[in-house]
Amino acid sequence: MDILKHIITLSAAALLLTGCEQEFEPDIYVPEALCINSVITSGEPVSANISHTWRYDEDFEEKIDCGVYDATVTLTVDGRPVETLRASDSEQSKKGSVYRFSHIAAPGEDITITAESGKYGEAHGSVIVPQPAGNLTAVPDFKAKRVTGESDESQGIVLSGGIKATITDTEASTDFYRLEAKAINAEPIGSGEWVDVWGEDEPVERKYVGVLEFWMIDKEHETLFQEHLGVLDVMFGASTYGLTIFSDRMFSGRDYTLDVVLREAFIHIYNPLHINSIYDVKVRLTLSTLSSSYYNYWLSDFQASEGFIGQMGDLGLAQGVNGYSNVSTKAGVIMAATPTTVDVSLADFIRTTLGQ
Amino acid sequence: MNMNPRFTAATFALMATVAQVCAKNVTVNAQSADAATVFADVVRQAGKNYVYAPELLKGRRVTVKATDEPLKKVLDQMFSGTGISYEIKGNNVVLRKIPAKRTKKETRYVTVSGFVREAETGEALAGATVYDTETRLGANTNAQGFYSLRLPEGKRNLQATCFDFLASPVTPVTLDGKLNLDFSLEKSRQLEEVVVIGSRDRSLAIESPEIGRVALSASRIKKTPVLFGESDVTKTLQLEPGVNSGMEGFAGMVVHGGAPDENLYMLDNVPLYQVNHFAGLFSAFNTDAIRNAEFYKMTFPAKYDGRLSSYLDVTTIDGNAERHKGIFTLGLTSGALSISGPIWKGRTTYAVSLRRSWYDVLTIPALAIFNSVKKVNKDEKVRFRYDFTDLNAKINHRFSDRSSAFISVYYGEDFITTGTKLDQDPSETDYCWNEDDKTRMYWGNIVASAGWRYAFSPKVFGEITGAYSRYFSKLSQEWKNFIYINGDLDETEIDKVTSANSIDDWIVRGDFSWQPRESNRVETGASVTFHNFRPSEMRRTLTKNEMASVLTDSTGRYRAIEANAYIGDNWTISSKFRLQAGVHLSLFHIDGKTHHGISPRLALSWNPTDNAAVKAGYSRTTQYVHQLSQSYISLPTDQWVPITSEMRPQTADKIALGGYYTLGTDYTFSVEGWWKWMRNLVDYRDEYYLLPPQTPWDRKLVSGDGTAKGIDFKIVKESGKITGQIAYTLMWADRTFPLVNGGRTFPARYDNRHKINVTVNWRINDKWELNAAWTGMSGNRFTLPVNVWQGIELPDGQDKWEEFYMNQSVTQTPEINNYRLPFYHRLDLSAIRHTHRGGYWTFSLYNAYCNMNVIAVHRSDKIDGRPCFKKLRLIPLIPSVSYTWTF
Repeated sequence: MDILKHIITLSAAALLLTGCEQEFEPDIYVPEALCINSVITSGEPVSANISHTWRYDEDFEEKIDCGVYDATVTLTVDGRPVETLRASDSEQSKKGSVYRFSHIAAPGEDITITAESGKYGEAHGSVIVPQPAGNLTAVPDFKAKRVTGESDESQGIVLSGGIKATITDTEASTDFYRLEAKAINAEPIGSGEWVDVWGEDEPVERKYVGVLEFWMIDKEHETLFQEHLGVLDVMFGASTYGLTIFSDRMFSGRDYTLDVVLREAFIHIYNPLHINSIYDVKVRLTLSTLSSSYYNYWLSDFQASEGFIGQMGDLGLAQGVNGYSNVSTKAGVIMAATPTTVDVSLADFIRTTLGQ
Repeated sequence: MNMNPRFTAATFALMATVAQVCAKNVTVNAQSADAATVFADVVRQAGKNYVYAPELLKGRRVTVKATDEPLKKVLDQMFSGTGISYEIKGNNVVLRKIPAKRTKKETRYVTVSGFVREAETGEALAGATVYDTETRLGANTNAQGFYSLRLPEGKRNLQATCFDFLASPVTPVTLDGKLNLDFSLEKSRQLEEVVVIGSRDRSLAIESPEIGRVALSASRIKKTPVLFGESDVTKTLQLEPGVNSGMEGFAGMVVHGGAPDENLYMLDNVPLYQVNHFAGLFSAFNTDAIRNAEFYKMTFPAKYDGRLSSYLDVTTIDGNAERHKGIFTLGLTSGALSISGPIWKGRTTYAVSLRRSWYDVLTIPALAIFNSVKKVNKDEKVRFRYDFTDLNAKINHRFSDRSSAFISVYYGEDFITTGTKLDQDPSETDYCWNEDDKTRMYWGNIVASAGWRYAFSPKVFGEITGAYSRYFSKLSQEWKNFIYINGDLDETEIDKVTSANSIDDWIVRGDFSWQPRESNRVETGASVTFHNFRPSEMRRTLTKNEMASVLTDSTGRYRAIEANAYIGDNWTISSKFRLQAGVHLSLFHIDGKTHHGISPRLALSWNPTDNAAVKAGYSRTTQYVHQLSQSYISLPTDQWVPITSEMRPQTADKIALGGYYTLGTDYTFSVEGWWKWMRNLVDYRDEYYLLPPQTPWDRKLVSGDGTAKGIDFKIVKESGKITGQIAYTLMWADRTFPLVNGGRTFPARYDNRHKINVTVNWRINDKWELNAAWTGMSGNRFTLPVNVWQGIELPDGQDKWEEFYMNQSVTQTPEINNYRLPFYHRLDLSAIRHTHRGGYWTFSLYNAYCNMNVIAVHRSDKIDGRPCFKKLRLIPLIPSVSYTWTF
């Protein structure tokens, strides 16, 4: 088979010869500019991180200090300046200076952040804090895929399905949402060390638990979670992984029921005494209304990392994707969110499944 | 009245002699005899007197023969065409000289028409010249080889010439009525003693008012050294000034700072949308099937419209009328077979050309070896196959010398399939998964056309064509994933994605040429095209454990009707001035709205001397369809879309000024300046990718303007052992869109400031030819983001995806096309060795000195993960060899 070795060697050499990459330093220079980042959440104080841009090929981890140490930052709400912080008021680091205002953000506020630096100039950007979601209701729609466990006292439920969450959308301009799910488990009862119930040694003390674990929301099960995903993106390998941000473009002004499927969901119950509170396992859904800047920023991040254009741009075969910015220097983003939560109890489902 | 004494004396003497004899017939037999004597004799026989100025017949000789004929008939015979008129007034015959103006008016012109064909094959020769060797009046043949020439009646010596062919023998003819005269020209095979009268470039430079026109024959295309030895009409054109290749190896043709979709490619009068194979590495035109190609880039004949930058009109061969002939070419990457011949000798011919790539044949064993020897993940098999195919078939039937018809089919397709298959045995482990991933893409063109060509009269030639043209592109991807737990199937996931786009055109067109006078040739025609666009139809079906979700992403279908009409006149005003003027009118009906375009054309030339010309021209072009491409390379997912009711047609106004000079028969020099204003250009708006994929495509676009200006220089040597050309272009091109680059003007992507091409063809002897082509040009423009900013750090409670991407650097929006790639240059060489069996070997070196040019720049990382900028260099020295056998 020597001939095969030669063929493969030649083929590999031919491939290597048909293209190569070479480092270089482009002879274009863009002045460093101020960058403002701020994530504003209704009901919480406003803060902003002030930094500056840097040249891509300067090594951030090793050398770059993008902190700005002379900036004065002004917070303006609904056109009125409410607070000005100086550099000395900020928490400074190489990754930027954090300015914490005392103002608590409220839905509907038009918030402008302006930063001025003697070295990097001026930057400003605005956002309107979104109104909370009109209405959010949720009902469980789980099914037991399998029940595991060797005794009635310690059992596991492999779940399929999830939660039907209904949003009532306002008919106003385009709304943006983000949905998150979190397990809220029953408080453990008992004391002492938890002992493996399947172990050979009988424990002296026990801890009675009801625990829900899941990996994440299955984004591919809900059409809305895929609205940003073009078929061309899918063809080039993009997935919805990790992004549960969506808009009301498909249900503006109407009710819409989201199919929230939890991936790899599993409930572990150790409750030999059948204490009711142990079954009080919940899923907390948080639906945040988002500013358009929030939606666009994460969409640009998705497109840059996963989308077809971003991937082609990384290879130099397309214009590529730039980070979304609503700051005057095109560096940084000022975004806002207003969360609404609802808890979905799994107690009845667990009891029914386990026959308790 | 003062009378000449001699005149008076002669008159009265004659009157005295013949006054008594009236109305008698005459008999005369004179061969080149003295006119005065003969005249006197016949008048005398008729019994009449005569009156004329003696100098009128002085030295004039006549030939006349009559036996007992009336005097009038004999006089008609004597003085016809002599510029002398007679009048019988009573008993007197008066001779007068016809005033010069009247002589000219009464000179009769006769139309000579016919075809010029290649002697060996019977193929029509376009661009051949038929002319009278005495008056130098001549006419060129059209794409079907038809000419129509008006000449003064009488004896003429006609000759036909065509570049690359031996001039026909001078044919003496006596013109006294319409004449149909065909010529057959032998292909030139000599070297330095080659007798080629007429130069293609000289003819276009000096004798045509058009600016920026290039005429190519198949033989010239084959002499251009190209990648893998695959001769290609677009690669040959890229050696012309103002024409470049876009992105090397990946895009089509770019003319004068335009975009690749601004060029109209026509195959036998039918537009082609997809003209690239293998991401633009090869064009869809099989050289063996080409008879000739006409290319226009500055002033355009009225016939052409629909694109802003250029027009390439390719005519395929009709087939050998004399005998069955074939050409077989075997190269490293493809093979081609072309056969043609008579079905009914002298009447019906066929021509079939097939070209197919070999990549799949080469990759099958390579992949089999790869899959069998790889040590990692042995259960995974890699699939890959790529090929492209071109088929041209044509049947031509000649009903008569005036009438012929054809049926033609073109089919071109690229096919690629790739994927992997992981096939593990589930029983071997507690947990395992199997995958089957398959992607298939195919795209191409189908064109079927039928036409009838008819010489309605020696002055009028027409062609009626009906055609169906389909562009198609389909991509499908299927991914299957099976998860097994303890040997049992636990989960199934099937993700199937399909994407399709297509255009179906039904076309009816008629093109006519009419030569009302020797100095005018009128070209006119009309066409109607029914378009059916399906720009994009995408569908994703994701099935997880029998639960399916469907995602569609479709642009819908668009039907449009396009109507075109044109008229243009080629007017030779005098021996020094020529004019080509015309107008192309178009209507485009879509979404209930009708757009219209009025595209005037004007080209004027002045020849201060026989070997120099100065030309000026203006052209407007209108474009209703355009190609949307999100990347710099040609992909099957690129969509051809029409303008909609919300958009306005793209237009370009171009002015050009040219100077031309020929030195002897060898050299032609030209300099052509041009300035182009483009309106309603279409491009993606800033951050269009933030709009949902379901957003109608036209909302992602924005209209804007552009300008381009420059100067093209060219020196051509067309005859002798060594031929070639040097071309240089100096150019600027920019764009301004309200929603791109913040509304600021930015340089066009193909703003290649300088471009130089040097081409040399050296025919050493009967066996060897050497060809070299050097290209150098300023690099393309690129958008290179230079600065970045710190990404957002999210508040607590984020999920895994966000944690992963948190705190990364984010691109700061740069100026569009802010970076120019390094100067591009390469040398291509080829040597042709003719064998005694009628075939020839072609040895070629693409990029002979192995300068791997930069085709792209991008941001990347070093091996240690630190960020850096990188240049992507492609295509090193590539040797190739092919053998062409003609039989």
